[in-house]
Amino acid sequence: MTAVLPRRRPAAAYRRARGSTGFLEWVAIHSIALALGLMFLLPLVFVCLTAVMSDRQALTAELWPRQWQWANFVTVFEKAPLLTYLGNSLLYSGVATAGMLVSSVPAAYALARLRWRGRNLAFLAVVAAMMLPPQVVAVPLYLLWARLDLTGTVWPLVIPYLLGDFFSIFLLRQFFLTIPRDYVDAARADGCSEAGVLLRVIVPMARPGIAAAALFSFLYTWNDYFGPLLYTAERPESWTLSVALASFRGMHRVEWNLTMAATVLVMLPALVLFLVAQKTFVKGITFTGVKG
Amino acid sequence: MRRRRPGVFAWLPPMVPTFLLLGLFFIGPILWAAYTAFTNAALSGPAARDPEFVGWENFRRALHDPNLANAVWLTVLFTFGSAVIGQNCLGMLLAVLMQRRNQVIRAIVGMLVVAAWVLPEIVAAFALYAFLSGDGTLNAVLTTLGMEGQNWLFTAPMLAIILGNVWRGTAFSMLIYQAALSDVDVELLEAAQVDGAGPLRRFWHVVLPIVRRTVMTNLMLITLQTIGVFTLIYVLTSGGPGTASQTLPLLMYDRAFEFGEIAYGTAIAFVLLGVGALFSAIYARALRAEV
Repeated sequence: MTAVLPRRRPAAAYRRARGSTGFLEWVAIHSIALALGLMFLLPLVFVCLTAVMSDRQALTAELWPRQWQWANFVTVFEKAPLLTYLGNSLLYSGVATAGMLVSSVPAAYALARLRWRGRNLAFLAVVAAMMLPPQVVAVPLYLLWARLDLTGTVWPLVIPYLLGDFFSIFLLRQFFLTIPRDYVDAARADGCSEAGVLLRVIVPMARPGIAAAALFSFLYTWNDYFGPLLYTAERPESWTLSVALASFRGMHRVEWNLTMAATVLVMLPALVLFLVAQKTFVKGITFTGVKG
Repeated sequence: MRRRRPGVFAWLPPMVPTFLLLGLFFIGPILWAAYTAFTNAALSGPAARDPEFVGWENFRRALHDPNLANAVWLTVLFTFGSAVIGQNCLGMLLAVLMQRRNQVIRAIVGMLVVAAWVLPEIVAAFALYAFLSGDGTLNAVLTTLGMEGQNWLFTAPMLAIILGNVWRGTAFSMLIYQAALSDVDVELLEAAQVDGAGPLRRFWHVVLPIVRRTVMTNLMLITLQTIGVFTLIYVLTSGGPGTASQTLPLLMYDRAFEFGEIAYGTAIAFVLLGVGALFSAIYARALRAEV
Protein backbone atom coordinates (compact mmCIF):
# COMPACT_ATOMS: atom_id res chain seq x y z
CA MET A 1 0.00 0.00 0.00
CA THR A 2 2.74 2.39 0.96
CA ALA A 3 4.09 1.95 -2.49
CA VAL A 4 1.16 3.87 -3.88
CA LEU A 5 1.94 6.98 -1.87
CA PRO A 6 3.88 9.59 -3.82
CA ARG A 7 7.46 9.95 -2.63
CA ARG A 8 8.01 12.91 -0.40
CA ARG A 9 10.37 15.42 -1.87
CA PRO A 10 11.88 17.27 1.04
CA ALA A 11 13.97 19.59 -1.11
CA ALA A 12 10.96 20.92 -2.99
CA ALA A 13 8.90 21.24 0.17
CA TYR A 14 11.76 23.11 1.78
CA ARG A 15 11.88 25.58 -1.05
CA ARG A 16 8.12 26.02 -0.94
CA ALA A 17 8.19 26.60 2.81
CA ARG A 18 10.56 29.53 2.30
CA GLY A 19 8.03 31.05 -0.10
CA SER A 20 6.76 34.52 0.79
CA THR A 21 8.84 35.16 3.89
CA GLY A 22 11.90 34.11 1.93
CA PHE A 23 12.91 37.52 0.71
CA LEU A 24 12.56 39.27 4.05
CA GLU A 25 14.49 36.52 5.75
CA TRP A 26 17.20 36.80 3.12
CA VAL A 27 17.58 40.52 3.72
CA ALA A 28 17.48 40.18 7.50
CA ILE A 29 20.08 37.45 7.73
CA HIS A 30 22.45 39.10 5.30
CA SER A 31 22.15 42.41 7.11
CA ILE A 32 22.91 40.83 10.46
CA ALA A 33 25.91 39.00 9.03
CA LEU A 34 27.19 42.14 7.36
CA ALA A 35 26.67 44.25 10.49
CA LEU A 36 28.58 41.71 12.59
CA GLY A 37 31.36 41.69 10.03
CA LEU A 38 31.56 45.47 9.97
CA MET A 39 31.91 45.54 13.74
CA PHE A 40 35.16 43.67 13.27
CA LEU A 41 36.31 46.42 10.94
CA LEU A 42 35.61 49.32 13.31
CA PRO A 43 38.82 49.21 15.40
CA LEU A 44 40.80 49.03 12.19
CA VAL A 45 39.06 52.05 10.69
CA PHE A 46 39.61 53.89 13.96
CA VAL A 47 43.35 53.17 13.87
CA CYS A 48 43.67 54.20 10.22
CA LEU A 49 41.73 57.44 10.63
CA THR A 50 43.66 58.45 13.73
CA ALA A 51 46.88 57.78 11.83
CA VAL A 52 46.21 60.63 9.41
CA MET A 53 44.89 63.17 11.94
CA SER A 54 46.77 66.06 13.44
CA ASP A 55 48.14 65.45 16.91
CA ARG A 56 45.60 67.91 18.27
CA GLN A 57 42.64 66.10 16.76
CA ALA A 58 43.68 62.56 17.72
CA LEU A 59 41.44 60.96 20.36
CA THR A 60 38.89 63.75 20.29
CA ALA A 61 35.20 63.39 19.58
CA GLU A 62 35.81 64.29 15.96
CA LEU A 63 36.26 60.88 14.43
CA TRP A 64 36.79 61.98 10.84
CA PRO A 65 40.14 63.68 10.06
CA ARG A 66 39.70 67.42 9.54
CA GLN A 67 42.73 67.46 7.29
CA TRP A 68 44.49 64.38 6.07
CA GLN A 69 48.04 64.50 7.35
CA TRP A 70 49.67 61.90 5.18
CA ALA A 71 53.01 63.29 6.30
CA ASN A 72 52.54 61.37 9.57
CA PHE A 73 53.80 58.27 7.82
CA VAL A 74 57.02 60.09 6.99
CA THR A 75 57.34 61.75 10.38
CA VAL A 76 57.35 58.42 12.25
CA PHE A 77 60.49 57.44 10.42
CA GLU A 78 62.16 60.60 11.70
CA LYS A 79 60.97 60.06 15.27
CA ALA A 80 62.22 56.52 15.63
CA PRO A 81 64.73 54.31 13.83
CA LEU A 82 61.92 52.30 12.29
CA LEU A 83 64.15 50.93 9.55
CA THR A 84 66.36 49.24 12.13
CA TYR A 85 63.31 47.69 13.78
CA LEU A 86 61.95 46.70 10.40
CA GLY A 87 65.25 44.99 9.64
CA ASN A 88 65.10 43.08 12.91
CA SER A 89 61.52 42.05 12.29
CA LEU A 90 62.36 40.88 8.78
CA LEU A 91 65.39 39.00 10.09
CA TYR A 92 63.27 37.25 12.69
CA SER A 93 60.31 36.45 10.41
CA GLY A 94 62.29 35.76 7.26
CA VAL A 95 65.02 33.52 8.65
CA ALA A 96 62.59 31.77 11.00
CA THR A 97 60.16 30.97 8.19
CA ALA A 98 62.86 29.82 5.77
CA GLY A 99 64.52 27.72 8.48
CA MET A 100 61.19 26.25 9.48
CA LEU A 101 60.53 25.09 5.92
CA VAL A 102 63.92 23.44 5.51
CA SER A 103 63.66 21.57 8.79
CA SER A 104 59.94 20.87 9.14
CA VAL A 105 59.03 19.65 5.66
CA PRO A 106 61.27 16.56 5.81
CA ALA A 107 60.18 15.84 9.38
CA ALA A 108 56.52 16.08 8.43
CA TYR A 109 57.20 13.66 5.56
CA ALA A 110 58.83 11.17 7.90
CA LEU A 111 55.83 11.45 10.22
CA ALA A 112 53.29 11.14 7.43
CA ARG A 113 54.67 8.69 4.88
CA LEU A 114 57.46 6.60 6.36
CA ARG A 115 56.86 3.68 8.69
CA TRP A 116 58.99 3.40 11.76
CA ARG A 117 58.76 2.39 15.37
CA GLY A 118 58.02 5.29 17.64
CA ARG A 119 56.44 7.34 14.89
CA ASN A 120 53.15 7.76 16.75
CA LEU A 121 54.96 8.62 19.94
CA ALA A 122 57.01 11.27 18.15
CA PHE A 123 53.87 12.72 16.60
CA LEU A 124 52.16 12.77 19.98
CA ALA A 125 55.12 14.65 21.43
CA VAL A 126 54.89 17.22 18.63
CA VAL A 127 51.18 17.75 19.31
CA ALA A 128 51.75 18.04 23.06
CA ALA A 129 54.55 20.55 22.51
CA MET A 130 52.31 22.52 20.18
CA MET A 131 49.59 22.77 22.82
CA LEU A 132 51.89 23.71 25.69
CA PRO A 133 51.37 27.27 26.94
CA PRO A 134 54.64 29.05 26.14
CA GLN A 135 54.92 30.37 29.69
CA VAL A 136 55.82 26.94 31.05
CA VAL A 137 59.14 26.82 29.23
CA ALA A 138 59.81 30.57 29.13
CA VAL A 139 62.01 30.67 32.23
CA PRO A 140 64.31 27.73 31.47
CA LEU A 141 64.74 28.87 27.88
CA TYR A 142 65.54 32.39 28.97
CA LEU A 143 68.22 31.11 31.32
CA LEU A 144 69.61 28.89 28.58
CA TRP A 145 69.97 31.81 26.17
CA ALA A 146 71.32 34.04 28.92
CA ARG A 147 74.03 31.49 29.62
CA LEU A 148 74.89 31.40 25.91
CA ASP A 149 75.06 35.19 26.08
CA LEU A 150 72.52 35.58 23.30
CA THR A 151 69.91 37.61 25.15
CA GLY A 152 69.63 41.10 23.71
CA THR A 153 69.54 39.69 20.17
CA VAL A 154 66.86 38.08 18.01
CA TRP A 155 68.79 34.80 17.77
CA PRO A 156 67.01 33.10 20.69
CA LEU A 157 63.85 33.60 18.68
CA VAL A 158 65.23 32.46 15.34
CA ILE A 159 67.40 29.46 16.23
CA PRO A 160 64.54 27.16 17.36
CA TYR A 161 62.91 27.63 13.94
CA LEU A 162 66.05 26.33 12.25
CA LEU A 163 65.27 23.03 13.96
CA GLY A 164 61.58 23.25 13.15
CA ASP A 165 58.32 24.47 14.54
CA PHE A 166 55.83 22.18 16.22
CA PHE A 167 52.71 23.70 14.73
CA SER A 168 54.19 23.71 11.23
CA ILE A 169 55.27 20.09 11.50
CA PHE A 170 51.75 19.20 12.59
CA LEU A 171 50.09 21.20 9.81
CA LEU A 172 52.42 19.84 7.10
CA ARG A 173 51.97 16.27 8.28
CA GLN A 174 48.19 16.64 8.10
CA PHE A 175 48.55 17.97 4.58
CA PHE A 176 50.96 15.28 3.42
CA LEU A 177 48.54 12.62 4.61
CA THR A 178 46.05 13.78 1.97
CA ILE A 179 48.47 12.95 -0.84
CA PRO A 180 47.54 9.47 -2.00
CA ARG A 181 50.06 6.83 -1.05
CA ASP A 182 50.01 5.55 -4.64
CA TYR A 183 51.98 8.52 -5.92
CA VAL A 184 54.67 7.90 -3.35
CA ASP A 185 54.76 4.18 -4.14
CA ALA A 186 54.91 4.83 -7.88
CA ALA A 187 57.88 7.15 -7.46
CA ARG A 188 59.63 4.57 -5.30
CA ALA A 189 58.91 1.91 -7.93
CA ASP A 190 60.66 4.13 -10.45
CA GLY A 191 63.75 4.03 -8.26
CA CYS A 192 63.32 7.42 -6.69
CA SER A 193 65.17 7.94 -3.43
CA GLU A 194 63.26 9.12 -0.36
CA ALA A 195 64.71 12.60 -0.80
CA GLY A 196 63.58 12.42 -4.43
CA VAL A 197 60.06 11.35 -3.43
CA LEU A 198 59.88 14.26 -1.05
CA LEU A 199 61.24 16.87 -3.46
CA ARG A 200 59.66 15.67 -6.72
CA VAL A 201 56.35 14.25 -5.55
CA ILE A 202 55.33 15.50 -2.13
CA VAL A 203 56.56 19.09 -2.25
CA PRO A 204 55.00 19.96 -5.64
CA MET A 205 51.71 18.34 -4.67
CA ALA A 206 51.60 19.87 -1.21
CA ARG A 207 52.39 23.38 -2.35
CA PRO A 208 49.19 24.88 -0.84
CA GLY A 209 49.92 23.23 2.51
CA ILE A 210 53.52 24.38 2.50
CA ALA A 211 52.41 27.89 1.57
CA ALA A 212 49.94 27.86 4.46
CA ALA A 213 52.61 26.73 6.93
CA ALA A 214 55.00 29.43 5.68
CA LEU A 215 52.27 32.04 5.89
CA PHE A 216 51.35 31.08 9.44
CA SER A 217 54.89 31.11 10.70
CA PHE A 218 55.63 34.43 9.02
CA LEU A 219 52.53 36.03 10.52
CA TYR A 220 53.13 34.49 13.92
CA THR A 221 56.71 35.73 14.12
CA TRP A 222 55.82 39.11 12.62
CA ASN A 223 53.10 39.61 15.25
CA ASP A 224 55.04 38.06 18.12
CA TYR A 225 55.56 40.33 21.07
CA PHE A 226 56.20 38.09 24.08
CA GLY A 227 59.35 36.57 22.58
CA PRO A 228 60.95 39.83 21.41
CA LEU A 229 59.97 41.51 24.69
CA LEU A 230 61.72 38.79 26.67
CA TYR A 231 64.88 38.65 24.60
CA THR A 232 65.39 41.97 22.85
CA ALA A 233 63.88 44.53 25.23
CA GLU A 234 67.21 45.15 26.97
CA ARG A 235 68.90 46.38 23.77
CA PRO A 236 66.96 48.89 21.65
CA GLU A 237 69.11 48.11 18.58
CA SER A 238 67.63 44.60 18.59
CA TRP A 239 63.99 45.61 18.97
CA THR A 240 61.48 44.23 16.53
CA LEU A 241 58.66 46.44 15.31
CA SER A 242 56.22 45.07 17.88
CA VAL A 243 58.48 45.91 20.82
CA ALA A 244 59.25 49.32 19.37
CA LEU A 245 55.57 49.98 18.87
CA ALA A 246 54.76 49.10 22.47
CA SER A 247 57.50 51.42 23.67
CA PHE A 248 55.85 54.34 21.84
CA ARG A 249 53.14 54.39 24.45
CA GLY A 250 55.58 54.51 27.30
CA MET A 251 57.05 57.79 26.13
CA HIS A 252 56.43 60.91 28.19
CA ARG A 253 53.91 62.40 25.80
CA VAL A 254 52.18 60.02 23.48
CA GLU A 255 51.46 61.46 20.07
CA TRP A 256 48.61 59.18 19.19
CA ASN A 257 48.44 60.14 15.54
CA LEU A 258 52.07 59.11 15.05
CA THR A 259 51.65 55.99 17.18
CA MET A 260 48.72 54.94 15.03
CA ALA A 261 50.65 55.76 11.85
CA ALA A 262 53.38 53.42 13.07
CA THR A 263 50.72 50.85 13.94
CA VAL A 264 49.39 51.01 10.39
CA LEU A 265 52.89 50.48 9.03
CA VAL A 266 53.40 47.45 11.27
CA MET A 267 50.11 45.83 10.41
CA LEU A 268 50.29 46.59 6.71
CA PRO A 269 52.57 43.68 5.73
CA ALA A 270 50.39 41.25 7.68
CA LEU A 271 47.25 42.62 6.08
CA VAL A 272 48.65 42.61 2.54
CA LEU A 273 50.01 39.11 2.94
CA PHE A 274 46.62 37.97 4.18
CA LEU A 275 44.69 39.62 1.35
CA VAL A 276 47.00 38.15 -1.27
CA ALA A 277 46.96 34.65 0.19
CA GLN A 278 43.52 34.55 1.78
CA LYS A 279 42.53 31.22 0.22
CA THR A 280 45.71 29.51 1.35
CA PHE A 281 45.20 30.91 4.80
CA VAL A 282 41.62 29.74 5.24
CA LYS A 283 42.46 26.35 3.80
CA GLY A 284 45.33 25.99 6.24
CA ILE A 285 43.08 26.66 9.21
CA THR A 286 40.41 24.20 8.25
CA PHE A 287 43.23 21.78 7.74
CA THR A 288 44.48 21.76 11.29
CA GLY A 289 42.63 18.49 11.60
CA VAL A 290 39.79 19.79 13.71
CA LYS A 291 37.38 17.89 11.52
CA GLY A 292 36.63 14.51 12.99
CA MET B 1 62.47 -3.44 -12.53
CA ARG B 2 63.02 -3.84 -8.84
CA ARG B 3 60.77 -1.87 -6.60
CA ARG B 4 62.77 0.25 -4.21
CA ARG B 5 61.70 0.26 -0.60
CA PRO B 6 62.63 3.02 1.78
CA GLY B 7 65.68 2.10 3.86
CA VAL B 8 65.11 0.97 7.42
CA PHE B 9 66.60 4.17 8.76
CA ALA B 10 65.26 6.50 6.08
CA TRP B 11 63.15 8.19 8.75
CA LEU B 12 66.06 9.11 10.95
CA PRO B 13 67.82 11.97 9.11
CA PRO B 14 64.67 14.06 8.57
CA MET B 15 63.67 13.55 12.19
CA VAL B 16 66.97 14.59 13.77
CA PRO B 17 66.12 18.32 13.91
CA THR B 18 62.71 17.53 15.36
CA PHE B 19 64.20 15.34 18.06
CA LEU B 20 66.67 18.10 18.90
CA LEU B 21 63.79 20.57 18.96
CA LEU B 22 61.76 18.31 21.26
CA GLY B 23 64.70 17.72 23.55
CA LEU B 24 66.01 21.27 23.75
CA PHE B 25 62.79 23.25 23.63
CA PHE B 26 60.15 20.95 25.08
CA ILE B 27 61.22 18.01 27.21
CA GLY B 28 64.43 19.51 28.56
CA PRO B 29 62.90 22.81 29.67
CA ILE B 30 59.89 21.05 31.18
CA LEU B 31 62.07 18.76 33.27
CA TRP B 32 64.22 21.71 34.24
CA ALA B 33 61.13 23.74 35.13
CA ALA B 34 59.67 20.85 37.13
CA TYR B 35 62.87 20.70 39.17
CA THR B 36 63.25 24.46 39.51
CA ALA B 37 59.74 24.85 40.88
CA PHE B 38 61.03 22.99 43.96
CA THR B 39 64.04 25.25 44.50
CA ASN B 40 64.52 28.88 45.46
CA ALA B 41 66.22 29.81 42.17
CA ALA B 42 66.36 33.52 41.42
CA LEU B 43 67.51 35.70 38.52
CA SER B 44 70.12 37.45 40.65
CA GLY B 45 71.52 37.41 44.18
CA PRO B 46 72.95 34.44 46.10
CA ALA B 47 70.05 32.16 45.14
CA ALA B 48 70.95 32.67 41.47
CA ARG B 49 74.39 31.15 41.88
CA ASP B 50 73.50 28.34 44.20
CA PRO B 51 69.78 27.55 44.33
CA GLU B 52 68.64 25.29 47.14
CA PHE B 53 66.04 22.57 47.09
CA VAL B 54 63.05 23.78 49.09
CA GLY B 55 60.47 21.04 48.50
CA TRP B 56 56.87 22.13 48.17
CA GLU B 57 57.64 25.59 49.51
CA ASN B 58 56.76 27.44 46.27
CA PHE B 59 53.47 25.62 45.93
CA ARG B 60 52.68 26.13 49.60
CA ARG B 61 53.35 29.81 49.09
CA ALA B 62 51.17 29.78 45.96
CA LEU B 63 48.30 28.26 47.92
CA HIS B 64 48.31 31.20 50.33
CA ASP B 65 49.11 33.89 47.77
CA PRO B 66 46.04 36.11 47.30
CA ASN B 67 47.53 37.35 44.02
CA LEU B 68 47.62 33.82 42.66
CA ALA B 69 44.05 33.03 43.67
CA ASN B 70 43.06 36.30 42.02
CA ALA B 71 45.01 35.42 38.87
CA VAL B 72 43.47 31.94 38.63
CA TRP B 73 40.00 33.42 38.95
CA LEU B 74 40.72 36.13 36.36
CA THR B 75 42.21 33.59 33.97
CA VAL B 76 39.12 31.41 34.25
CA LEU B 77 36.88 34.45 33.81
CA PHE B 78 38.90 35.69 30.84
CA THR B 79 38.91 32.27 29.20
CA PHE B 80 35.24 31.63 29.83
CA GLY B 81 34.15 35.10 28.77
CA SER B 82 36.31 35.58 25.70
CA ALA B 83 36.81 32.03 24.41
CA VAL B 84 33.95 29.79 25.55
CA ILE B 85 31.24 32.45 25.31
CA GLY B 86 32.67 35.14 23.04
CA GLN B 87 34.74 33.52 20.31
CA ASN B 88 32.92 30.21 20.34
CA CYS B 89 29.33 31.50 20.24
CA LEU B 90 30.01 34.45 17.96
CA GLY B 91 32.05 32.22 15.66
CA MET B 92 29.20 29.71 15.50
CA LEU B 93 26.64 32.47 14.95
CA LEU B 94 28.64 33.89 12.06
CA ALA B 95 29.16 30.46 10.55
CA VAL B 96 25.45 29.61 10.77
CA LEU B 97 24.38 32.99 9.39
CA MET B 98 26.70 32.62 6.46
CA GLN B 99 25.88 29.02 5.71
CA ARG B 100 24.67 28.67 2.12
CA ARG B 101 24.27 32.42 1.74
CA ASN B 102 25.13 34.86 -0.96
CA GLN B 103 28.71 34.24 -2.03
CA VAL B 104 29.70 37.91 -2.11
CA ILE B 105 28.40 38.73 1.37
CA ARG B 106 29.94 35.56 2.70
CA ALA B 107 33.30 36.52 1.29
CA ILE B 108 33.13 40.07 2.63
CA VAL B 109 32.07 39.09 6.15
CA GLY B 110 34.64 36.31 6.24
CA MET B 111 37.39 38.66 5.16
CA LEU B 112 36.50 41.30 7.75
CA VAL B 113 36.50 38.81 10.60
CA VAL B 114 39.66 37.04 9.55
CA ALA B 115 41.53 40.30 8.93
CA ALA B 116 41.18 41.13 12.62
CA TRP B 117 42.87 37.85 13.37
CA VAL B 118 45.98 38.25 11.23
CA LEU B 119 46.78 41.61 12.76
CA PRO B 120 49.29 41.85 15.59
CA GLU B 121 47.69 41.57 19.02
CA ILE B 122 49.38 44.85 19.77
CA VAL B 123 47.20 46.57 17.18
CA ALA B 124 44.05 45.34 18.89
CA ALA B 125 45.49 46.47 22.21
CA PHE B 126 46.37 49.94 20.87
CA ALA B 127 43.03 50.44 19.18
CA LEU B 128 41.16 49.54 22.37
CA TYR B 129 43.51 51.57 24.53
CA ALA B 130 43.12 54.72 22.44
CA PHE B 131 39.39 54.23 22.40
CA LEU B 132 38.75 53.35 26.05
CA SER B 133 41.45 55.11 28.10
CA GLY B 134 40.72 58.13 30.33
CA ASP B 135 41.43 60.73 27.65
CA GLY B 136 40.42 58.36 24.90
CA THR B 137 37.93 58.74 22.09
CA LEU B 138 34.95 57.16 23.85
CA ASN B 139 35.10 59.69 26.66
CA ALA B 140 35.54 62.56 24.24
CA VAL B 141 32.41 61.44 22.44
CA LEU B 142 30.51 61.00 25.72
CA THR B 143 31.52 64.48 26.82
CA THR B 144 30.19 66.10 23.66
CA LEU B 145 26.95 64.22 24.26
CA GLY B 146 26.87 65.79 27.72
CA MET B 147 27.63 62.58 29.57
CA GLU B 148 30.19 61.93 32.26
CA GLY B 149 33.14 59.91 31.05
CA GLN B 150 35.24 57.57 33.15
CA ASN B 151 38.49 55.68 32.73
CA TRP B 152 37.07 52.50 31.30
CA LEU B 153 40.34 50.64 31.57
CA PHE B 154 40.20 51.32 35.30
CA THR B 155 36.56 50.60 35.90
CA ALA B 156 36.16 47.66 33.53
CA PRO B 157 39.58 46.27 32.65
CA MET B 158 38.34 42.69 32.33
CA LEU B 159 35.61 43.73 29.92
CA ALA B 160 38.17 45.57 27.81
CA ILE B 161 40.54 42.61 27.50
CA ILE B 162 37.66 40.21 26.88
CA LEU B 163 36.34 42.43 24.08
CA GLY B 164 39.83 42.66 22.64
CA ASN B 165 40.28 38.92 22.65
CA VAL B 166 36.87 38.29 21.11
CA TRP B 167 37.69 40.76 18.36
CA ARG B 168 40.97 39.07 17.60
CA GLY B 169 40.12 35.43 18.05
CA THR B 170 36.62 34.84 16.69
CA ALA B 171 37.89 34.15 13.17
CA PHE B 172 39.43 30.81 14.14
CA SER B 173 36.18 29.42 15.54
CA MET B 174 34.24 30.82 12.60
CA LEU B 175 36.46 29.14 10.04
CA ILE B 176 36.42 25.84 11.90
CA TYR B 177 32.63 25.91 12.21
CA GLN B 178 32.14 26.90 8.59
CA ALA B 179 34.10 23.85 7.56
CA ALA B 180 32.12 21.64 9.94
CA LEU B 181 28.73 23.00 8.88
CA SER B 182 29.48 22.36 5.24
CA ASP B 183 29.54 18.67 6.18
CA VAL B 184 26.01 18.72 7.56
CA ASP B 185 23.65 16.99 5.16
CA VAL B 186 21.22 19.48 3.64
CA GLU B 187 18.55 16.80 3.24
CA LEU B 188 18.48 16.34 7.00
CA LEU B 189 17.84 20.01 7.57
CA GLU B 190 15.19 20.10 4.90
CA ALA B 191 13.47 17.07 6.39
CA ALA B 192 13.49 18.75 9.81
CA GLN B 193 12.01 21.89 8.35
CA VAL B 194 9.29 19.99 6.56
CA ASP B 195 8.50 18.40 9.92
CA GLY B 196 7.95 21.91 11.28
CA ALA B 197 11.17 22.53 13.19
CA GLY B 198 12.08 26.22 13.43
CA PRO B 199 15.62 27.50 12.94
CA LEU B 200 16.54 27.27 16.63
CA ARG B 201 15.25 23.72 17.02
CA ARG B 202 16.90 22.70 13.79
CA PHE B 203 20.19 24.05 15.07
CA TRP B 204 19.84 22.51 18.51
CA HIS B 205 18.54 19.09 17.53
CA VAL B 206 19.97 18.49 14.07
CA VAL B 207 23.10 20.58 13.51
CA LEU B 208 24.63 20.65 16.97
CA PRO B 209 24.67 16.88 17.56
CA ILE B 210 26.44 16.42 14.22
CA VAL B 211 29.16 18.99 14.83
CA ARG B 212 29.51 18.27 18.55
CA ARG B 213 32.97 16.75 18.20
CA THR B 214 34.21 19.77 16.31
CA VAL B 215 32.76 22.08 18.94
CA MET B 216 34.61 20.28 21.73
CA THR B 217 37.89 20.16 19.81
CA ASN B 218 37.57 23.82 18.93
CA LEU B 219 36.78 24.71 22.54
CA MET B 220 39.87 22.88 23.68
CA LEU B 221 42.11 24.63 21.15
CA ILE B 222 40.81 28.14 21.80
CA THR B 223 40.89 27.57 25.56
CA LEU B 224 44.55 26.54 25.52
CA GLN B 225 45.22 29.50 23.27
CA THR B 226 43.37 31.94 25.52
CA ILE B 227 44.77 30.96 28.91
CA GLY B 228 48.21 31.83 27.53
CA VAL B 229 47.24 35.26 26.16
CA PHE B 230 49.88 37.76 27.24
CA THR B 231 50.44 40.56 24.72
CA LEU B 232 46.90 41.86 24.55
CA ILE B 233 46.59 42.19 28.32
CA TYR B 234 50.13 43.41 28.89
CA VAL B 235 49.81 46.23 26.40
CA LEU B 236 46.22 47.13 27.21
CA THR B 237 46.21 47.15 31.01
CA SER B 238 49.54 45.61 32.16
CA GLY B 239 47.37 43.54 34.46
CA GLY B 240 46.08 46.61 36.21
CA PRO B 241 44.77 48.68 37.74
CA GLY B 242 46.53 47.03 40.65
CA THR B 243 45.92 43.38 39.91
CA ALA B 244 42.39 43.78 38.50
CA SER B 245 43.27 42.13 35.19
CA GLN B 246 46.41 40.21 36.14
CA THR B 247 45.83 36.79 34.65
CA LEU B 248 48.28 33.93 35.21
CA PRO B 249 50.63 34.68 32.29
CA LEU B 250 51.01 38.26 33.53
CA LEU B 251 51.53 37.22 37.14
CA MET B 252 54.11 34.69 36.00
CA TYR B 253 55.96 37.29 33.89
CA ASP B 254 55.83 39.74 36.77
CA ARG B 255 57.24 37.33 39.34
CA ALA B 256 59.82 35.58 37.16
CA PHE B 257 61.16 38.44 35.08
CA GLU B 258 60.31 41.65 36.93
CA PHE B 259 61.02 40.38 40.44
CA GLY B 260 63.50 37.71 39.38
CA GLU B 261 61.79 35.01 41.45
CA ILE B 262 62.39 32.34 38.87
CA ALA B 263 61.37 29.38 40.97
CA TYR B 264 58.09 30.90 42.07
CA GLY B 265 57.37 32.09 38.52
CA THR B 266 57.88 28.55 37.29
CA ALA B 267 55.50 27.22 39.93
CA ILE B 268 52.91 29.70 38.65
CA ALA B 269 53.46 28.43 35.10
CA PHE B 270 52.57 24.94 36.33
CA VAL B 271 49.40 26.29 37.91
CA LEU B 272 48.61 27.72 34.46
CA LEU B 273 49.21 24.32 32.94
CA GLY B 274 46.87 22.85 35.57
CA VAL B 275 44.09 25.26 34.65
CA GLY B 276 44.48 24.27 31.00
CA ALA B 277 44.39 20.58 31.90
CA LEU B 278 41.25 21.13 33.97
CA PHE B 279 39.42 22.79 31.08
CA SER B 280 40.57 20.03 28.71
CA ALA B 281 39.35 17.35 31.11
CA ILE B 282 35.94 19.00 31.27
CA TYR B 283 35.65 19.05 27.47
CA ALA B 284 36.82 15.47 27.17
CA ARG B 285 34.18 14.43 29.72
CA ALA B 286 31.45 16.42 28.02
CA LEU B 287 32.32 14.70 24.78
CA ARG B 288 32.15 11.25 26.30
CA ALA B 289 29.07 11.84 28.45
CA GLU B 290 26.51 11.97 25.67
CA VAL B 291 27.83 9.40 23.23
